[in-house]
Amino acid sequence: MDSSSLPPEVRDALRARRAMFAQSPSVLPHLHRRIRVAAMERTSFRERLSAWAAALAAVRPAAYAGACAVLAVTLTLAHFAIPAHSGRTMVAARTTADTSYSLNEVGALPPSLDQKIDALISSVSAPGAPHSATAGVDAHYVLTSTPASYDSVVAF
Amino acid sequence: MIPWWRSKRHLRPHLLLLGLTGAAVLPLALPCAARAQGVFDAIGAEVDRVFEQSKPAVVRVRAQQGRFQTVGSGFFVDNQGTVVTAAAILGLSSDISVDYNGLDLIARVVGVDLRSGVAVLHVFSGATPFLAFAKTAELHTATPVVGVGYPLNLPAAPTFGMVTGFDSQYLDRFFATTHLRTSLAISPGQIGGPVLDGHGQVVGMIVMAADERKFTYALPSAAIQKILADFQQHGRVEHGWVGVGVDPQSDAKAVRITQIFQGAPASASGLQPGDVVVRIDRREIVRPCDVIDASFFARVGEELPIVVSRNGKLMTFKFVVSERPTQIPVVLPNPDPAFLPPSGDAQGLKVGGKPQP
Repeated sequence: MDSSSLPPEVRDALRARRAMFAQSPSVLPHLHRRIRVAAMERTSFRERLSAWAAALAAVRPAAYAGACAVLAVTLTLAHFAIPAHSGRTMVAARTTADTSYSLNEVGALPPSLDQKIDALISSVSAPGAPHSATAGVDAHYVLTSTPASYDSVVAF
Repeated sequence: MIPWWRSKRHLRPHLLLLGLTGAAVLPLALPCAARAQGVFDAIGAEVDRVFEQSKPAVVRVRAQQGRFQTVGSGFFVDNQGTVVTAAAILGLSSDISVDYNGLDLIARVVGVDLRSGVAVLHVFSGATPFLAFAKTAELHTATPVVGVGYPLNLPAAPTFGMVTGFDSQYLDRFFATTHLRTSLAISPGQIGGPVLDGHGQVVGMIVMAADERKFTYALPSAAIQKILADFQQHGRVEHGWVGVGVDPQSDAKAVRITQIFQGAPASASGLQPGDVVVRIDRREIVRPCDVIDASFFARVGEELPIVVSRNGKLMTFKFVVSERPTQIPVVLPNPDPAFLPPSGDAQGLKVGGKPQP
């Protein structure tokens, strides 16, 4: 782009920017310097906290012990407020989803729990193995799902 | 070279804070974890104790139905060989046997009450282990209970849960009496098994699994005892009947009479539709299920006082309880005369309900 066609004020601004970049060839040192300052600030904050804690422990040990107790109670409450197996449920849910996905990939619907049990029962014929009426045995194990007798009216 | 503990001097307060925190948290955390583990162990030990204590009195019941058998559970209720089980296991069979202590014993049917779904068997006269009945009145929601029965062809097994409610109806139909709703998980074959409290006493008998086995209904021990007493005294179960129908949708404050059945003790008593039932005998009536229970436990032949409220005035009526008919005559709501036969009797259903003076 030919700068001679630009307005004079724009041309001056561009010249000033080039001069700035000529003095500071890269913005990276500037960023690096800022990051270092920030890191030093964090370090100094940690040091200030350490110094404050040490001073408090030396001058007012009772207050320091009280602060420790409050922190301990807070940490304890936070520990017991989180269910112990909350993470495990999420892992189990993901595992189930993965299993379903892999079964769907090969074009088969995942068998229900009852189907798995029926398959297991029909494949086991040893004495003591659970079986149902569908397993070719002449015993029907009763499980009623309705009451023996019930009324449609309330009368006495 | 500077030792590491001097070079890390600024970390000392942190280490001190961490140490103090750990020292404060550990004494709190360890007993909590130990206590939680202890509670689970205690529950398991109690369930195991109830199961081992009751197992000798729980039997497997078989009924030969032609070529196949129906199989369920039951339990001894006295030391004379009396077994209580579910009527659904027996069906119409009279070829009944009981697996007891490794023996296959022939059982005699003492009686079957289809209304409550209870069957009573007698195995032999001899000393048998038995389970005692608990007081159902002491049960409340969340009372822990243990069910014992024979799932499929497996040995006797316990199932642990709690009482989750007291229901007088399932879906839109009414039980013979209020049932215990429990969270017990059962398998085929466990019908007829006992439901036990923490003392190993019977609070009910498993009669059905509802809503795809999500919960289980049990007939309360008081109802089982009533049935046993009836079988012992009369040879059959006598359900009381006065002949009064009430609104099943009554609110908590007013159980209103909707119909008086013809030919029943109440038909010539002066009771009227619209009367609010306040008390039946000593039982206060606040919900329709109270009427159901009052009817179930009423004794045939006894005088039954009923207190009703009519226009804010309390009135007492007395009836001699008769036996409940096997089929209750149905009263059509607002019968249209155009659809009624001249005799008023349509397909065996007696149409009536007009209050008698």
